[in-house]
Amino acid sequence: MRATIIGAFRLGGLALVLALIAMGSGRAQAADASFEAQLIWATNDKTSPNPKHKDVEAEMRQRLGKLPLKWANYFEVNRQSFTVADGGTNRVVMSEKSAIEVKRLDARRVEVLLYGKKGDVCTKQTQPLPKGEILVFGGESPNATAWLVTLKRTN
Amino acid sequence: MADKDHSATDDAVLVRAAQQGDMRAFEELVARHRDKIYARAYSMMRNEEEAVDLSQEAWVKGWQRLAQFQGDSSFTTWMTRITINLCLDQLRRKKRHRTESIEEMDEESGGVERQMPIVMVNPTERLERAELRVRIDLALSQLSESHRTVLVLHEFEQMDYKTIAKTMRCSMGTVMSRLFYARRKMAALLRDLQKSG
Amino acid sequence: MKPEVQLKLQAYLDGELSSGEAKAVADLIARDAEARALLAELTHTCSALAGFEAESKLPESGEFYWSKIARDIQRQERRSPERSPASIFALLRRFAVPTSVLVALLLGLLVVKQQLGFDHRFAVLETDTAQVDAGTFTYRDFASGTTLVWLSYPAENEFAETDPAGTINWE
Repeated sequence: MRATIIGAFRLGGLALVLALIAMGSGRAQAADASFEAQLIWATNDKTSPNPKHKDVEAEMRQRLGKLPLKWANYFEVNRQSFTVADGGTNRVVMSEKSAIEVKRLDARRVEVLLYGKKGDVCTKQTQPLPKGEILVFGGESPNATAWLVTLKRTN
Repeated sequence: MADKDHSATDDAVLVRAAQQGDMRAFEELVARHRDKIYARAYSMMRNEEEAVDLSQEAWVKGWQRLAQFQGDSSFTTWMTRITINLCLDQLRRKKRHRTESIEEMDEESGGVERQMPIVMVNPTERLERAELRVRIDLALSQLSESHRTVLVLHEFEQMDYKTIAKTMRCSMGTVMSRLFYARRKMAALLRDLQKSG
Repeated sequence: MKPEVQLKLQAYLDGELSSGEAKAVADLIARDAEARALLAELTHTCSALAGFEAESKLPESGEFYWSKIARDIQRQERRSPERSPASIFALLRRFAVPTSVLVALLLGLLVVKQQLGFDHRFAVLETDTAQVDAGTFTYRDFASGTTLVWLSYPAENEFAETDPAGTINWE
Protein backbone atom coordinates (compact mmCIF):
# COMPACT_ATOMS: atom_id res chain seq x y z
CA MET A 1 0.00 0.00 0.00
CA ARG A 2 2.74 2.43 1.04
CA ALA A 3 4.83 1.48 -1.97
CA THR A 4 1.85 2.09 -4.25
CA ILE A 5 1.24 5.56 -2.89
CA ILE A 6 4.91 6.46 -3.12
CA GLY A 7 4.96 5.22 -6.71
CA ALA A 8 1.90 7.29 -7.49
CA PHE A 9 3.51 10.42 -6.10
CA ARG A 10 6.67 9.80 -8.08
CA LEU A 11 4.70 9.61 -11.28
CA GLY A 12 2.77 12.67 -10.26
CA GLY A 13 6.02 14.50 -9.73
CA LEU A 14 7.18 13.55 -13.20
CA ALA A 15 3.88 14.82 -14.58
CA LEU A 16 4.39 18.11 -12.76
CA VAL A 17 7.87 18.56 -14.23
CA LEU A 18 6.58 17.88 -17.72
CA ALA A 19 3.73 20.31 -17.15
CA LEU A 20 6.15 23.06 -16.17
CA ILE A 21 8.17 22.46 -19.32
CA ALA A 22 5.02 22.61 -21.44
CA MET A 23 3.87 25.80 -19.74
CA GLY A 24 7.24 27.39 -20.36
CA SER A 25 7.08 26.67 -24.07
CA GLY A 26 3.52 27.93 -24.20
CA ARG A 27 4.35 31.33 -22.75
CA ALA A 28 6.03 32.41 -25.98
CA GLN A 29 2.57 32.53 -27.63
CA ALA A 30 0.93 35.01 -25.23
CA ALA A 31 0.56 37.93 -27.69
CA ASP A 32 -2.72 38.96 -29.38
CA ALA A 33 -4.06 36.41 -31.83
CA SER A 34 -5.75 37.38 -35.10
CA PHE A 35 -8.85 35.61 -36.38
CA GLU A 36 -11.03 35.76 -39.44
CA ALA A 37 -14.69 34.76 -39.46
CA GLN A 38 -16.81 34.28 -42.56
CA LEU A 39 -20.53 33.87 -43.01
CA ILE A 40 -21.13 31.62 -46.00
CA TRP A 41 -24.25 30.57 -47.85
CA ALA A 42 -24.17 27.01 -49.21
CA THR A 43 -26.36 26.17 -52.20
CA ASN A 44 -26.55 24.17 -55.37
CA ASP A 45 -27.58 27.30 -57.29
CA LYS A 46 -24.87 28.52 -59.64
CA THR A 47 -25.24 32.15 -58.55
CA SER A 48 -26.50 34.01 -55.54
CA PRO A 49 -29.47 36.37 -55.99
CA ASN A 50 -27.52 38.94 -54.03
CA PRO A 51 -24.90 40.58 -56.30
CA LYS A 52 -22.81 41.49 -53.28
CA HIS A 53 -22.12 37.83 -52.54
CA LYS A 54 -18.97 36.44 -54.06
CA ASP A 55 -17.58 32.96 -54.44
CA VAL A 56 -15.51 31.82 -51.47
CA GLU A 57 -11.77 31.64 -52.02
CA ALA A 58 -10.27 28.52 -53.50
CA GLU A 59 -8.65 27.47 -50.23
CA MET A 60 -11.94 27.71 -48.35
CA ARG A 61 -13.74 25.84 -51.10
CA GLN A 62 -11.15 23.10 -50.91
CA ARG A 63 -11.46 22.88 -47.12
CA LEU A 64 -15.24 22.75 -47.27
CA GLY A 65 -14.96 20.08 -49.93
CA LYS A 66 -13.29 17.78 -47.39
CA LEU A 67 -16.30 17.96 -45.10
CA PRO A 68 -19.47 15.88 -45.42
CA LEU A 69 -21.40 18.77 -47.02
CA LYS A 70 -23.57 18.16 -50.03
CA TRP A 71 -23.64 21.60 -51.66
CA ALA A 72 -21.92 22.52 -54.91
CA ASN A 73 -21.42 26.24 -54.34
CA TYR A 74 -20.43 28.49 -51.47
CA PHE A 75 -20.88 32.26 -51.39
CA GLU A 76 -19.25 34.61 -48.94
CA VAL A 77 -21.90 36.78 -47.30
CA ASN A 78 -19.74 38.54 -44.75
CA ARG A 79 -16.16 38.49 -43.51
CA GLN A 80 -14.80 39.90 -40.26
CA SER A 81 -11.19 40.13 -39.12
CA PHE A 82 -10.49 40.72 -35.45
CA THR A 83 -7.97 40.12 -32.69
CA VAL A 84 -8.30 38.51 -29.29
CA ALA A 85 -5.84 39.22 -26.49
CA ASP A 86 -4.35 36.41 -24.47
CA GLY A 87 -7.07 35.36 -22.02
CA GLY A 88 -9.46 37.85 -23.60
CA THR A 89 -12.75 37.68 -25.46
CA ASN A 90 -14.04 39.31 -28.61
CA ARG A 91 -17.45 39.14 -30.21
CA VAL A 92 -18.24 40.00 -33.81
CA VAL A 93 -21.59 40.30 -35.51
CA MET A 94 -21.86 38.27 -38.70
CA SER A 95 -25.40 39.24 -39.64
CA GLU A 96 -28.62 40.56 -38.14
CA LYS A 97 -29.26 37.08 -36.82
CA SER A 98 -25.83 35.72 -35.96
CA ALA A 99 -22.74 36.55 -33.96
CA ILE A 100 -19.64 34.70 -32.94
CA GLU A 101 -17.66 35.17 -29.76
CA VAL A 102 -14.11 33.91 -29.29
CA LYS A 103 -12.39 33.55 -25.96
CA ARG A 104 -8.75 32.53 -25.74
CA LEU A 105 -8.33 30.01 -22.98
CA ASP A 106 -4.60 29.57 -23.45
CA ALA A 107 -1.98 29.73 -26.19
CA ARG A 108 -3.80 27.23 -28.36
CA ARG A 109 -7.32 26.63 -27.07
CA VAL A 110 -10.33 28.77 -27.75
CA GLU A 111 -13.90 28.74 -26.55
CA VAL A 112 -16.23 29.77 -29.35
CA LEU A 113 -19.86 30.72 -28.79
CA LEU A 114 -22.29 30.96 -31.67
CA TYR A 115 -25.25 33.28 -31.12
CA GLY A 116 -28.55 33.07 -32.99
CA LYS A 117 -31.42 35.32 -33.88
CA LYS A 118 -32.58 36.22 -30.41
CA GLY A 119 -29.11 36.52 -28.96
CA ASP A 120 -29.31 33.01 -27.54
CA VAL A 121 -26.31 30.74 -27.60
CA CYS A 122 -26.78 28.04 -30.24
CA THR A 123 -23.67 26.09 -29.40
CA LYS A 124 -20.33 26.34 -27.65
CA GLN A 125 -17.18 24.73 -28.98
CA THR A 126 -13.95 24.43 -27.02
CA GLN A 127 -10.92 23.19 -28.90
CA PRO A 128 -7.40 24.05 -30.00
CA LEU A 129 -7.40 26.38 -33.01
CA PRO A 130 -3.81 26.95 -34.10
CA LYS A 131 -2.87 28.97 -37.15
CA GLY A 132 -4.17 27.40 -40.32
CA GLU A 133 -6.97 25.38 -38.71
CA ILE A 134 -10.60 26.16 -39.43
CA LEU A 135 -13.69 25.67 -37.29
CA VAL A 136 -16.96 25.54 -39.21
CA PHE A 137 -20.45 25.83 -37.73
CA GLY A 138 -23.37 25.02 -39.97
CA GLY A 139 -27.05 24.31 -40.19
CA GLU A 140 -29.91 24.08 -42.63
CA SER A 141 -31.56 27.04 -44.31
CA PRO A 142 -34.79 27.01 -46.28
CA ASN A 143 -34.96 25.69 -49.84
CA ALA A 144 -32.34 23.02 -49.25
CA THR A 145 -29.51 25.45 -48.64
CA ALA A 146 -27.34 25.97 -45.58
CA TRP A 147 -25.54 28.65 -43.62
CA LEU A 148 -21.96 28.27 -42.46
CA VAL A 149 -19.90 30.36 -40.07
CA THR A 150 -16.19 29.68 -40.34
CA LEU A 151 -13.45 30.74 -37.95
CA LYS A 152 -9.77 30.69 -38.80
CA ARG A 153 -6.78 31.87 -36.82
CA THR A 154 -4.55 33.94 -39.07
CA ASN A 155 -1.50 34.42 -36.84
CA MET B 1 -28.33 0.67 6.29
CA ALA B 2 -31.60 -0.49 7.89
CA ASP B 3 -34.49 -0.94 5.47
CA LYS B 4 -36.78 2.04 5.58
CA ASP B 5 -40.45 1.93 4.66
CA HIS B 6 -40.91 4.54 1.95
CA SER B 7 -44.48 3.74 1.02
CA ALA B 8 -45.93 6.88 2.65
CA THR B 9 -43.23 9.28 1.45
CA ASP B 10 -43.82 11.69 -1.40
CA ASP B 11 -41.83 11.60 -4.63
CA ALA B 12 -39.63 14.62 -3.90
CA VAL B 13 -38.39 13.08 -0.67
CA LEU B 14 -37.83 9.73 -2.34
CA VAL B 15 -35.85 11.36 -5.15
CA ARG B 16 -33.63 13.17 -2.66
CA ALA B 17 -33.02 9.94 -0.76
CA ALA B 18 -32.26 8.10 -3.98
CA GLN B 19 -29.83 10.84 -4.98
CA GLN B 20 -27.98 10.07 -1.75
CA GLY B 21 -27.72 6.43 -2.81
CA ASP B 22 -30.83 4.98 -1.14
CA MET B 23 -31.73 2.13 -3.49
CA ARG B 24 -34.91 1.29 -1.58
CA ALA B 25 -36.18 4.81 -2.19
CA PHE B 26 -35.51 4.36 -5.90
CA GLU B 27 -37.23 0.98 -5.84
CA GLU B 28 -40.31 2.69 -4.39
CA LEU B 29 -40.21 5.28 -7.20
CA VAL B 30 -40.03 2.47 -9.74
CA ALA B 31 -42.97 0.70 -8.10
CA ARG B 32 -45.06 3.88 -8.23
CA HIS B 33 -44.34 4.86 -11.80
CA ARG B 34 -43.41 1.70 -13.65
CA ASP B 35 -46.80 1.41 -15.34
CA LYS B 36 -46.63 4.92 -16.72
CA ILE B 37 -43.06 4.51 -17.99
CA TYR B 38 -43.91 1.15 -19.52
CA ALA B 39 -47.07 2.62 -21.08
CA ARG B 40 -45.06 5.38 -22.76
CA ALA B 41 -42.54 2.91 -24.14
CA TYR B 42 -45.33 0.62 -25.36
CA SER B 43 -47.17 3.49 -27.04
CA MET B 44 -44.08 4.23 -29.06
CA MET B 45 -42.75 0.76 -29.75
CA ARG B 46 -46.02 -1.27 -29.97
CA ASN B 47 -44.16 -4.34 -28.80
CA GLU B 48 -44.45 -5.57 -25.21
CA GLU B 49 -41.00 -7.13 -24.95
CA GLU B 50 -39.26 -4.08 -26.42
CA ALA B 51 -41.29 -1.77 -24.22
CA VAL B 52 -40.36 -3.71 -21.09
CA ASP B 53 -36.65 -3.73 -22.06
CA LEU B 54 -36.57 -0.04 -22.95
CA SER B 55 -38.49 1.00 -19.85
CA GLN B 56 -36.06 -0.97 -17.68
CA GLU B 57 -33.16 0.68 -19.50
CA ALA B 58 -34.79 4.03 -18.81
CA TRP B 59 -34.91 3.29 -15.10
CA VAL B 60 -31.23 2.29 -15.06
CA LYS B 61 -30.35 5.52 -16.87
CA GLY B 62 -32.56 7.43 -14.46
CA TRP B 63 -30.61 6.02 -11.52
CA GLN B 64 -27.29 6.91 -13.17
CA ARG B 65 -28.43 10.47 -13.93
CA LEU B 66 -30.29 11.19 -10.71
CA ALA B 67 -27.73 13.80 -9.73
CA GLN B 68 -28.79 15.80 -12.80
CA PHE B 69 -32.46 15.92 -11.79
CA GLN B 70 -33.00 19.38 -10.36
CA GLY B 71 -36.76 19.29 -9.87
CA ASP B 72 -37.51 21.67 -12.79
CA SER B 73 -40.18 19.20 -13.86
CA SER B 74 -41.90 16.34 -12.04
CA PHE B 75 -39.91 13.15 -11.62
CA THR B 76 -42.28 11.25 -13.91
CA THR B 77 -41.95 13.86 -16.66
CA TRP B 78 -38.18 13.60 -16.39
CA MET B 79 -38.37 9.81 -16.57
CA THR B 80 -40.78 9.80 -19.51
CA ARG B 81 -38.41 12.04 -21.42
CA ILE B 82 -35.57 9.59 -20.83
CA THR B 83 -37.88 6.82 -22.01
CA ILE B 84 -38.93 8.70 -25.12
CA ASN B 85 -35.33 9.40 -26.11
CA LEU B 86 -34.40 5.74 -25.70
CA CYS B 87 -37.40 4.71 -27.80
CA LEU B 88 -36.54 7.23 -30.50
CA ASP B 89 -32.95 5.99 -30.61
CA GLN B 90 -34.21 2.44 -30.99
CA LEU B 91 -36.66 3.44 -33.73
CA ARG B 92 -33.89 5.25 -35.59
CA ARG B 93 -31.63 2.20 -35.34
CA LYS B 94 -34.40 0.00 -36.68
CA LYS B 95 -35.20 2.43 -39.48
CA ARG B 96 -31.61 2.34 -40.71
CA HIS B 97 -31.92 -1.37 -41.20
CA ARG B 98 -35.19 -1.68 -42.99
CA THR B 99 -36.77 -0.51 -46.21
CA GLU B 100 -39.75 1.76 -45.95
CA SER B 101 -42.94 0.32 -47.30
CA ILE B 102 -44.66 2.18 -50.11
CA GLU B 103 -47.54 3.01 -47.78
CA GLU B 104 -45.14 4.63 -45.31
CA MET B 105 -43.53 6.67 -48.08
CA ASP B 106 -46.98 7.85 -49.19
CA GLU B 107 -47.75 8.82 -45.63
CA GLU B 108 -44.45 10.67 -45.30
CA SER B 109 -44.90 12.59 -48.54
CA GLY B 110 -48.25 13.84 -47.28
CA GLY B 111 -51.39 14.93 -49.04
CA VAL B 112 -53.47 11.81 -48.47
CA GLU B 113 -54.92 13.14 -45.24
CA ARG B 114 -56.27 16.25 -46.96
CA GLN B 115 -58.52 14.16 -49.15
CA MET B 116 -59.96 11.89 -46.46
CA PRO B 117 -63.67 12.46 -45.96
CA ILE B 118 -64.44 14.11 -42.68
CA VAL B 119 -65.75 11.70 -40.06
CA MET B 120 -69.05 13.39 -39.22
CA VAL B 121 -70.17 11.25 -36.31
CA ASN B 122 -68.10 10.76 -33.19
CA PRO B 123 -67.01 7.14 -33.67
CA THR B 124 -66.27 6.68 -29.98
CA GLU B 125 -69.65 7.76 -28.72
CA ARG B 126 -71.53 5.16 -26.69
CA LEU B 127 -68.49 2.88 -26.52
CA GLU B 128 -67.57 1.33 -23.27
CA ARG B 129 -64.19 2.47 -22.05
CA ALA B 130 -62.66 -1.00 -22.38
CA GLU B 131 -63.95 -1.38 -25.92
CA LEU B 132 -62.60 2.04 -26.82
CA ARG B 133 -59.20 1.07 -25.45
CA VAL B 134 -59.08 -1.99 -27.68
CA ARG B 135 -60.01 0.05 -30.74
CA ILE B 136 -57.54 2.81 -30.03
CA ASP B 137 -54.86 0.23 -29.40
CA LEU B 138 -55.57 -1.40 -32.74
CA ALA B 139 -55.70 1.94 -34.55
CA LEU B 140 -52.37 3.07 -33.04
CA SER B 141 -50.74 -0.14 -34.24
CA GLN B 142 -51.78 0.68 -37.77
CA LEU B 143 -50.05 4.04 -37.87
CA SER B 144 -46.47 4.29 -39.11
CA GLU B 145 -43.78 4.84 -36.49
CA SER B 146 -43.29 8.51 -37.29
CA HIS B 147 -47.00 9.29 -37.18
CA ARG B 148 -47.53 7.32 -34.01
CA THR B 149 -44.53 9.00 -32.39
CA VAL B 150 -45.75 12.52 -33.09
CA LEU B 151 -49.20 11.56 -31.79
CA VAL B 152 -47.75 10.06 -28.60
CA LEU B 153 -45.52 13.05 -27.99
CA HIS B 154 -48.38 15.50 -28.49
CA GLU B 155 -51.34 13.69 -26.97
CA PHE B 156 -49.66 11.77 -24.15
CA GLU B 157 -46.48 13.66 -23.43
CA GLN B 158 -48.24 17.03 -23.97
CA MET B 159 -45.29 18.43 -25.93
CA ASP B 160 -45.82 21.54 -28.05
CA TYR B 161 -44.96 21.57 -31.76
CA LYS B 162 -41.57 23.17 -31.26
CA THR B 163 -40.45 20.65 -28.65
CA ILE B 164 -41.67 17.76 -30.79
CA ALA B 165 -39.72 19.15 -33.76
CA LYS B 166 -36.57 19.30 -31.69
CA THR B 167 -37.11 15.84 -30.22
CA MET B 168 -37.84 14.26 -33.58
CA ARG B 169 -35.19 16.31 -35.40
CA CYS B 170 -37.55 17.59 -38.01
CA SER B 171 -39.22 20.89 -38.91
CA MET B 172 -42.35 22.23 -37.25
CA GLY B 173 -44.09 21.99 -40.59
CA THR B 174 -43.36 18.28 -40.66
CA VAL B 175 -44.66 17.90 -37.11
CA MET B 176 -47.91 19.63 -38.01
CA SER B 177 -48.40 17.54 -41.17
CA ARG B 178 -47.65 14.27 -39.42
CA LEU B 179 -49.89 15.11 -36.48
CA PHE B 180 -52.71 16.06 -38.81
CA TYR B 181 -52.31 12.85 -40.79
CA ALA B 182 -52.12 10.75 -37.60
CA ARG B 183 -55.30 12.28 -36.19
CA ARG B 184 -57.25 11.93 -39.41
CA LYS B 185 -56.07 8.37 -39.85
CA MET B 186 -57.06 7.57 -36.25
CA ALA B 187 -60.51 9.01 -36.85
CA ALA B 188 -60.93 6.97 -40.03
CA LEU B 189 -59.66 3.79 -38.35
CA LEU B 190 -61.96 4.21 -35.37
CA ARG B 191 -64.91 4.79 -37.71
CA ASP B 192 -64.01 1.67 -39.74
CA LEU B 193 -63.63 -0.36 -36.57
CA GLN B 194 -67.04 0.84 -35.42
CA LYS B 195 -68.58 -0.26 -38.72
CA SER B 196 -66.98 -3.67 -38.61
CA GLY B 197 -67.25 -4.21 -34.86
CA MET C 1 -60.28 23.54 -47.97
CA LYS C 2 -56.66 24.46 -48.50
CA PRO C 3 -54.04 22.36 -46.68
CA GLU C 4 -52.66 25.38 -44.83
CA VAL C 5 -56.14 26.20 -43.55
CA GLN C 6 -56.56 22.64 -42.31
CA LEU C 7 -53.26 22.86 -40.44
CA LYS C 8 -54.31 26.22 -39.01
CA LEU C 9 -57.48 24.60 -37.67
CA GLN C 10 -55.38 21.94 -36.00
CA ALA C 11 -53.02 24.55 -34.55
CA TYR C 12 -56.06 26.46 -33.27
CA LEU C 13 -57.26 23.32 -31.49
CA ASP C 14 -53.79 22.81 -29.98
CA GLY C 15 -53.42 26.40 -28.79
CA GLU C 16 -50.41 26.99 -31.02
CA LEU C 17 -51.67 30.16 -32.75
CA SER C 18 -51.07 33.76 -31.84
CA SER C 19 -54.14 35.63 -30.63
CA GLY C 20 -54.55 37.34 -34.01
CA GLU C 21 -54.35 34.08 -35.92
CA ALA C 22 -56.66 32.37 -33.43
CA LYS C 23 -59.29 35.06 -33.93
CA ALA C 24 -59.11 34.67 -37.70
CA VAL C 25 -59.62 30.91 -37.37
CA ALA C 26 -62.48 31.41 -34.90
CA ASP C 27 -64.17 33.66 -37.49
CA LEU C 28 -63.69 30.99 -40.14
CA ILE C 29 -65.20 28.33 -37.90
CA ALA C 30 -68.21 30.54 -37.26
CA ARG C 31 -69.00 30.92 -40.95
CA ASP C 32 -67.74 27.69 -42.56
CA ALA C 33 -69.50 24.37 -41.99
CA GLU C 34 -66.63 22.30 -43.38
CA ALA C 35 -64.20 23.93 -40.97
CA ARG C 36 -66.56 23.20 -38.08
CA ALA C 37 -66.86 19.58 -39.11
CA LEU C 38 -63.11 19.10 -39.41
CA LEU C 39 -62.53 20.75 -36.05
CA ALA C 40 -65.15 18.46 -34.51
CA GLU C 41 -63.43 15.40 -35.94
CA LEU C 42 -60.05 16.50 -34.62
CA THR C 43 -61.58 17.23 -31.22
CA HIS C 44 -63.25 13.81 -31.04
CA THR C 45 -59.93 12.12 -31.77
CA CYS C 46 -58.21 14.11 -29.02
CA SER C 47 -60.97 13.21 -26.56
CA ALA C 48 -60.72 9.53 -27.47
CA LEU C 49 -56.98 9.50 -26.82
CA ALA C 50 -57.19 11.43 -23.54
CA GLY C 51 -56.35 9.15 -20.66
CA PHE C 52 -55.74 6.19 -22.96
CA GLU C 53 -52.27 5.54 -21.69
CA ALA C 54 -53.27 5.89 -18.07
CA GLU C 55 -54.70 2.40 -18.05
CA SER C 56 -51.72 0.55 -19.54
CA LYS C 57 -50.22 -1.95 -17.12
CA LEU C 58 -46.82 -3.59 -17.00
CA PRO C 59 -47.24 -7.16 -18.31
CA GLU C 60 -45.05 -8.78 -15.66
CA SER C 61 -44.74 -8.78 -11.89
CA GLY C 62 -43.28 -5.73 -10.24
CA GLU C 63 -40.70 -7.78 -8.34
CA PHE C 64 -39.39 -9.48 -11.47
CA TYR C 65 -39.30 -6.13 -13.30
CA TRP C 66 -37.36 -4.50 -10.49
CA SER C 67 -34.94 -7.40 -10.12
CA LYS C 68 -33.58 -6.85 -13.63
CA ILE C 69 -33.27 -3.11 -13.07
CA ALA C 70 -31.39 -3.68 -9.80
CA ARG C 71 -29.11 -6.22 -11.46
CA ASP C 72 -28.28 -3.82 -14.33
CA ILE C 73 -27.60 -0.97 -11.91
CA GLN C 74 -25.23 -3.15 -9.90
CA ARG C 75 -23.49 -4.32 -13.06
CA GLN C 76 -23.01 -0.69 -14.19
CA GLU C 77 -21.69 0.27 -10.80
CA ARG C 78 -19.17 -2.57 -10.78
CA ARG C 79 -17.80 -1.08 -13.99
CA SER C 80 -17.73 2.51 -12.69
CA PRO C 81 -18.30 2.68 -8.94
CA GLU C 82 -18.89 6.48 -8.55
CA ARG C 83 -21.63 5.91 -6.02
CA SER C 84 -19.81 3.39 -3.83
CA PRO C 85 -18.63 4.89 -0.60
CA ALA C 86 -14.85 4.70 -0.39
CA SER C 87 -12.18 5.70 2.06
CA ILE C 88 -9.62 8.24 0.94
CA PHE C 89 -7.00 5.50 0.82
CA ALA C 90 -9.17 3.27 -1.35
CA LEU C 91 -9.69 6.20 -3.74
CA LEU C 92 -5.97 6.93 -3.81
CA ARG C 93 -5.17 3.34 -4.49
CA ARG C 94 -7.78 3.02 -7.21
CA PHE C 95 -7.11 6.25 -9.07
CA ALA C 96 -3.68 7.58 -8.22
CA VAL C 97 -1.54 5.26 -10.31
CA PRO C 98 -3.58 5.14 -13.52
CA THR C 99 -4.33 8.87 -13.33
CA SER C 100 -0.67 9.74 -12.83
CA VAL C 101 0.36 7.54 -15.73
CA LEU C 102 -2.27 9.09 -17.97
CA VAL C 103 -1.35 12.66 -16.99
CA ALA C 104 2.35 11.93 -17.54
CA LEU C 105 1.64 10.44 -20.96
CA LEU C 106 -0.61 13.31 -22.05
CA LEU C 107 1.81 15.96 -20.90
CA GLY C 108 4.67 14.10 -22.51
CA LEU C 109 2.77 14.11 -25.79
CA LEU C 110 2.02 17.79 -25.34
CA VAL C 111 5.70 18.55 -24.91
CA VAL C 112 6.60 16.52 -27.98
CA LYS C 113 3.88 18.31 -29.92
CA GLN C 114 5.14 21.70 -28.78
CA GLN C 115 8.70 20.89 -29.69
CA LEU C 116 8.03 19.23 -33.02
CA GLY C 117 5.16 21.39 -34.24
CA PHE C 118 1.41 20.88 -34.21
CA ASP C 119 0.14 17.38 -34.84
CA HIS C 120 -3.48 17.40 -35.92
CA ARG C 121 -4.05 13.85 -34.79
CA PHE C 122 -4.11 14.69 -31.13
CA ALA C 123 -6.46 17.68 -31.31
CA VAL C 124 -9.45 15.40 -31.06
CA LEU C 125 -8.57 14.62 -27.41
CA GLU C 126 -9.14 18.26 -26.51
CA THR C 127 -12.34 19.06 -28.34
CA ASP C 128 -15.48 19.72 -26.36
CA THR C 129 -18.80 20.76 -27.80
CA ALA C 130 -21.44 21.98 -25.39
CA GLN C 131 -24.61 21.72 -27.36
CA VAL C 132 -27.81 23.54 -26.75
CA ASP C 133 -29.18 21.29 -29.42
CA ALA C 134 -28.88 17.58 -28.58
CA GLY C 135 -28.75 16.66 -32.24
CA THR C 136 -25.52 18.50 -32.96
CA PHE C 137 -22.71 16.43 -34.34
CA THR C 138 -19.03 17.17 -34.80
CA TYR C 139 -16.82 15.99 -37.66
CA ARG C 140 -13.11 16.48 -38.08
CA ASP C 141 -10.98 16.21 -41.17
CA PHE C 142 -7.51 15.64 -39.76
CA ALA C 143 -5.59 16.09 -42.97
CA SER C 144 -6.85 19.63 -43.62
CA GLY C 145 -7.29 20.62 -39.96
CA THR C 146 -10.98 21.43 -40.35
CA THR C 147 -13.64 20.85 -37.71
CA LEU C 148 -17.35 20.94 -38.56
CA VAL C 149 -20.01 21.45 -35.91
CA TRP C 150 -23.40 20.82 -37.49
CA LEU C 151 -26.50 22.00 -35.67
CA SER C 152 -29.55 19.90 -36.30
CA TYR C 153 -31.97 22.82 -36.08
CA PRO C 154 -34.56 22.52 -38.84
CA ALA C 155 -34.63 24.99 -41.67
CA GLU C 156 -37.16 27.14 -39.83
CA ASN C 157 -34.83 27.41 -36.84
CA GLU C 158 -34.26 30.59 -34.93
CA PHE C 159 -30.76 30.93 -36.23
CA ALA C 160 -31.51 30.70 -39.91
CA GLU C 161 -35.22 31.32 -40.30
CA THR C 162 -34.35 33.25 -43.39
CA ASP C 163 -31.01 33.27 -45.15
CA PRO C 164 -28.18 34.44 -42.94
CA ALA C 165 -27.78 37.80 -44.65
CA GLY C 166 -31.54 38.39 -44.91
CA THR C 167 -31.24 39.11 -48.59
CA ILE C 168 -33.12 36.24 -50.14
CA ASN C 169 -36.92 36.23 -50.44
CA TRP C 170 -37.97 32.73 -49.48
CA GLU C 171 -41.69 33.31 -50.21
